[in-house]
Amino acid sequence: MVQQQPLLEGRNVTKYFGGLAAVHHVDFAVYPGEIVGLVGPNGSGKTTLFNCLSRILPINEGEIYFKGKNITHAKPYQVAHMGLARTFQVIRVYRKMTVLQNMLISRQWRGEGILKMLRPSSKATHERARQLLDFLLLGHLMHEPAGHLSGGQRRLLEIGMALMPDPDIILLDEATSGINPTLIETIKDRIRQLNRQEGKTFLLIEHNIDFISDLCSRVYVLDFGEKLAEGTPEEIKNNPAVIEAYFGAE
Amino acid sequence: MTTSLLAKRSGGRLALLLALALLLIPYLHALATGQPETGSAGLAALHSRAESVYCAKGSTPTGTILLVETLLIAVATLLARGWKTHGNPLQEGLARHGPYLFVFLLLTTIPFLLAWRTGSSACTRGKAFFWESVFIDVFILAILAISYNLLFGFAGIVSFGHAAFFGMGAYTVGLLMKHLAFPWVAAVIVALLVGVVIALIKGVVGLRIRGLYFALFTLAFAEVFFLLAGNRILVDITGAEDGFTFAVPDFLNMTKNRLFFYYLTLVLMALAFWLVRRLMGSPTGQVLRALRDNEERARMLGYNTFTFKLIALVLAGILATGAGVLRGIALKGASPNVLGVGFTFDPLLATIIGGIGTFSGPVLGVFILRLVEQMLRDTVLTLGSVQIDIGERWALILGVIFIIIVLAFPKGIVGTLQEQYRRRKGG
Ligand SMILES: Nc1ncnc2c1ncn2[C@@H]1O[C@H](COP(=O)(O)OP(=O)(O)O)[C@@H](O)[C@H]1O
Ligand SMILES: [Mg+2]
Repeated sequence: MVQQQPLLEGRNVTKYFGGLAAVHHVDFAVYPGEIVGLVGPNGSGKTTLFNCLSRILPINEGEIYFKGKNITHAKPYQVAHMGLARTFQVIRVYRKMTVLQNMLISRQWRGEGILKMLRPSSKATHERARQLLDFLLLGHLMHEPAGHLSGGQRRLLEIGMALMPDPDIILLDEATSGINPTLIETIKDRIRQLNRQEGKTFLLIEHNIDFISDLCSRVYVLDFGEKLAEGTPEEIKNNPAVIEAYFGAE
Repeated sequence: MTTSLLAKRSGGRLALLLALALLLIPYLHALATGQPETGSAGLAALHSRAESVYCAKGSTPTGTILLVETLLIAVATLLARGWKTHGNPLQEGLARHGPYLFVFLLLTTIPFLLAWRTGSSACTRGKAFFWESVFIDVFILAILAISYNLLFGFAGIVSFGHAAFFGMGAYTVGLLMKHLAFPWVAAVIVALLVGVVIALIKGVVGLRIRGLYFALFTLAFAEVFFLLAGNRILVDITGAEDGFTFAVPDFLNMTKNRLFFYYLTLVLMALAFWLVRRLMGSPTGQVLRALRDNEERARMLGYNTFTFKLIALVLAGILATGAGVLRGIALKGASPNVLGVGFTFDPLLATIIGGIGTFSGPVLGVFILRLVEQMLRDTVLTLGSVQIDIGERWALILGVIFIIIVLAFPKGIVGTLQEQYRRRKGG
């Protein structure tokens, strides 16, 4: 890896819930153009780390940098404007809105004047939403309420919503959980395409080890909130401590 | 796609123009056929000409024309909805806005319908005159309910202190006109600004706390004003618990110019309705809905949700304050009860009855609550030899009706009907 400035970096990130250290002294860095995995047993603090990075949760110790800027105390909408997008483990599409409306709402308001917000979204926004929906195989469902979609389709819509603002890094929280194998292949393919053709950077929380091996160049392993290991997917798979964490405890 | 969007927009404009034209016809007709009062000159003579027609007792040509227009719009709307040709802007405008146009025209006809049915005049003391004041009250409360629904139904912000806006509107406009001799325009503008300031204070201090705590904060906030208004310390200014009265210009005097005041409040209610519909149809409205459904998601999409809530709060505050201003002017006075919890809970009840987060629900709710209350108040039920004075127990009976409605329509009348309609269309 050529040494360059990380796109997203955490130094000593620590988050307590009461006495529980959900994330404890975690250091990590994601470089531009990488696809990085974040794995670990249930409850190891992966989602909490995402919440800290996307600034939904305040952290107790440490610092977070995005594009070289300290965002430790930034607001979620500010990091979103800077080009960080994420999806949620528990799917959070707007069920009563149509698929298209869900997409459109993901693009509007970039600090423009209030008056502009009173007008319908622009043609270009519509066009982008349509293209992305086609890309994610949701084009034919555009006018359905999002609540009518299957679990897998909703995950795809979540990814679409994250992509709408054209972010630089996308954090996906268990994008494949509860999804049939064909759709998983689709998601994998789309991530790869976005990464290669548009240079998007990804940080993925995943349980699916094949998915990780196929996509990621590097993987971080969390266990009880601590960074247990980091390395290539191969190294991680053969790391005794990781095997112990995954299988030893059960 | 774009052409149909264009058609929709010009359709809306056409529908609006149609409504204005329809409203002018009866007045022009009255002007043309009336007789001016002897001794009047200029504009006053013109106006007295029209009055001689529409202020007559019983049925008037003005009422007949309005009624025919209302029925025509009803038929035209049904036709426009039934038979779909695409691209005709007037037809699309009617299909979309026709129902609202119909209700609006019906409400403009009501004073004359009442005059006709009761053999009284729409302009002078009598039955129709009395019922006009009931409707004025309904229109003012409907603005308050529209405002409440904007916060509660659309933005998901629960406030128990809406009366603070309403009451301060009435108090500010009255006190300024009474003690500082403000002209009415200035008094109204300052009162609305006071509403904005209250909204900003509530927003900046209160919106940082969530859910029920915000609701309780607003309740406490309103109670402070309530107690202050009733306190004897300020008796020379506010009249303490008795309140105070003030003089308003003649044209705004509801006792003298009731029909005008009726139309004024009707138009302002329609304006508030249109404003909220317009807002909720815009991207800002979508964001408000989104943050109601899931705030965290909205923040992650890049929205400063605080700003959006503040916008909703300020807009709702202006509307509710405006309603209070109208109330103050209508009664030519204010007393602490305009700041009391009643003016928080009535709009809340109306919103629940009509349908939370629907456009017409809160307005319908107010109509039902107020009109049923008014009818119950002077009803005596005779069962054989037993006479039951319902009027004495109206609150109880209204409560029962309320419970029945809520049980029969769990999402409010409009909300439940919409859901059934959608299900039938989908399934
Ligand atoms: N909001 C919260 N409040 C308290 N405890 C939490 C909260 N969110 C997560 N936790 C706890 O933090 C730990 C890590 O959870 P999480 O980050 O969701 O794990 P993962 O995503 O790796 O499965 C768990 O023990 C969980 O119970
Ligand atoms: Mg998780």
